[in-house]
Amino acid sequence: MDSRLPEEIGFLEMVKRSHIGKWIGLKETDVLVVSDSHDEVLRELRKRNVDGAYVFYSPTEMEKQYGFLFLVREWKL
Amino acid sequence: MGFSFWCANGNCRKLISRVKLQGKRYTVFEDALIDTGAAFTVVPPETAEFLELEIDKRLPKAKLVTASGIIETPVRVLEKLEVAGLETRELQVVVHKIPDPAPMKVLLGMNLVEKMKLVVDGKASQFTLEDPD
Repeated sequence: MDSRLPEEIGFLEMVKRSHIGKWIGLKETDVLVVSDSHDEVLRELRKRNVDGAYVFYSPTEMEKQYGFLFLVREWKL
Repeated sequence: MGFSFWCANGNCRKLISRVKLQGKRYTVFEDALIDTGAAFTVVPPETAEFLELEIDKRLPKAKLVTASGIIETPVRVLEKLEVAGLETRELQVVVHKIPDPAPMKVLLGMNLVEKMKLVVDGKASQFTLEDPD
């Protein structure tokens, strides 16, 4: 079970599909910032005095195959 | 109070949860990786600056062992962290940039996890965060 509502998950997936490979700053249903870097999103939110935004990344298909720090491969011995 | 989460991508190789980080004036929500191998909770420099986090007077700096060696990083105090409906106040956080292309810049380390009940059901690809009290 996910703590988020299905409508919210659906909306986030839609936003992610529109900005693959980017960092996104979202407040409610407004996409405020889209950038290649997490730093840039935070800098922009600070410049605009935005409180309560959600900052997240939309991974590429290739990145979804990776673990957090390491590429996980299953080897057959 | 607590929540169950499906593990990312249908497996429990990554435990990810959205967290609410509260500073002096602002709050921001970020996705965070629960990292039981990290002693401290980690936030990136830009987030620490955005939230105007103050230096921890008791422990201004901490030494960490990372993949690239031992580093010294500033320790700051987060006013409030909220995850799965559970609140923690005045949490010590280490300010450290997790390099790109890591899709998460916030790590929830053991100084947070030790305040909660974390149950990982790898077979069901599910984990739960609960208030232990």
